[in-house]
Amino acid sequence: MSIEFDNNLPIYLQIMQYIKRQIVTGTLKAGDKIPSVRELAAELQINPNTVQRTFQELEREEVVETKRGLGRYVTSEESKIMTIKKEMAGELLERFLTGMQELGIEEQDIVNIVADAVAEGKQSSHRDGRGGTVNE
Amino acid sequence: MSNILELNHVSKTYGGKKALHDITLDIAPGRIVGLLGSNGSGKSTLMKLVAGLLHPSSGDVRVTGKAVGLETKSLVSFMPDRPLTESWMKVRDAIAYYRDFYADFDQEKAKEMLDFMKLGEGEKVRHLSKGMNERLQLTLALSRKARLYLLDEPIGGVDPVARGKILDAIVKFYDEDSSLIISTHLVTDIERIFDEVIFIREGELVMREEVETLRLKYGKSVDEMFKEVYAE
Amino acid sequence: MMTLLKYDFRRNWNTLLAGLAVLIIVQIGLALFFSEVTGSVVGVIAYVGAGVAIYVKMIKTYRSNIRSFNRRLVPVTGLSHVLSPIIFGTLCWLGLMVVAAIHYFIYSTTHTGINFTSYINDSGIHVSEILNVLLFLWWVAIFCIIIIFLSISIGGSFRFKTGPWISIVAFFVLINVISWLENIIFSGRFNSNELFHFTEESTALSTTSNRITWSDGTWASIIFEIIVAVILVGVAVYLNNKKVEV
Repeated sequence: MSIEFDNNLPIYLQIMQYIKRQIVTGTLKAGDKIPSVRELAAELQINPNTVQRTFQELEREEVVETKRGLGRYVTSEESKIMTIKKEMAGELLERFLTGMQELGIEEQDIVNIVADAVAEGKQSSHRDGRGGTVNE
Repeated sequence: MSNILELNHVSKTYGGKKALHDITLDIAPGRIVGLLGSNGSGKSTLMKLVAGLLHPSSGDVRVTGKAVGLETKSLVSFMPDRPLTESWMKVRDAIAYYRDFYADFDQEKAKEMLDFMKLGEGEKVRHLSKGMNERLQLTLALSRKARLYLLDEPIGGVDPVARGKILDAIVKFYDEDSSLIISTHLVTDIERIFDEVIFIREGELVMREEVETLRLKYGKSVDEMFKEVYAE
Repeated sequence: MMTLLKYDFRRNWNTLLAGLAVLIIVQIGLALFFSEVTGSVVGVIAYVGAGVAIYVKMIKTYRSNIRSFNRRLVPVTGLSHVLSPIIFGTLCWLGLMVVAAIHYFIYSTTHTGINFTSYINDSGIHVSEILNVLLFLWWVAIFCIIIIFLSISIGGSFRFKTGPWISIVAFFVLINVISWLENIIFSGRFNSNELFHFTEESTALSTTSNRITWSDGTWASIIFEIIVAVILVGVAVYLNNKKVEV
């Protein structure tokens, strides 16, 4: 498992996104144990201090909690996970809207385009992803 | 904890040419530091000074507060750009050499790393390919429980697979009490394991920054910063 | 330092074995194909040659040790780097003497015609004197090699191509200064030309040697040399630690 990192953006932010996505998509479930700093650093081939910082930020945001002597775990609060999901969706949306507006597409047209795309997406193969134009 | 490395107004001149000019820096424990510069910028010279192979023309180099000398040789593990093995040796002889001379050598770790790097103990050193040799040199350097590791171009001239393994090994064997200084001019592959980077150009310390700050504040990768600093 | 010594041996092991094999083959060849007198003389010369080869090896070992990264990085005292080749050489010489002794033993048991022991006893040389001479030779060789080592270190302190030339110059300067000093302080004992005289007559060998008469002068001379040697070693160690660079 190795992520494609963008060296122009802070790595710790990218890892945070990565972990949040894993939580939101259910790969990491509520209450699951998260790999240790060392393990993750070794897996992703990044500086352990960076991983440490990631975890600290995630803890601050209450996405992750430390249980003394046991390690780090994904928050067990489902509501928190929903919040993250909404936040991430919101970010995606913002980018999408900005992009569409830059292309000069009117608001009503955006809604129609999205409706069509979603309908099409249900028919075509899932391998192509979520049908969004944003790559991450 | 006090600094692992301190350089105080260090200069080094070779026959008229100033290889290093008035370098002052210190490095705290638990850091992985990139020492970046083009060829001939003074990176190797700096490392050799810390390792005790060269002596400063002026200024002061201290490892864990001690002046560079006999004692610091036990604290510093140096992987230079040339092999530290003698042509008569087999891989196991090289390991034995390190084990005999360095009290902090960890035999278990060495065996682990040899397996990880797919190096056979009975192989003759002079029959190893360049990539395998680099892996061996790295194994020797990292199997010591040193306070400061100096790796001079550990991934230069090595195939991508070996490169990956080498980066893996570096991250795996990281320790909060010790620091690593890695010099390289191949920045892209390795920049995500650096805490901070030091840019040296023509013997002078041009820039020193935490890597994530570079990304946050300037939106630049180390590779891009490198190109800016060394643009001709 | 023992570890340094161990690795000096390991590094040179193959050369040593090869040299030994060559020596033995040469001696056998001499014994089989040459007359006794010529054979013996050449045989002795072969041993001396081996001794000289060891001497050269010591110098080469020192030179490469102060230049190789892996030796310089190792946490051993500068003194060890100087002493290790010396001890290495001495041990090799001892080994050589053992081989020579075995050879002599085989020789004297197979050649009952010539009885060396009575021959030597007749000419009035005792075993202890031979030992004295050997010890004296050893000391001269070591003293000389210390001067050579220091010259190498002096040369090594200069970075350029002039390095080796500086070593040679340093060597001659040192040798001359030291023998001049000795000649002034004591009257001319350090003259390596007059140590041994071999004279060969048509049917027999006879040797006359500058006997090492242990007079006061000789003792003082040796102490002087020991002091000088210590100083030279000290300087060499200092240079190795502070000045010599790779």
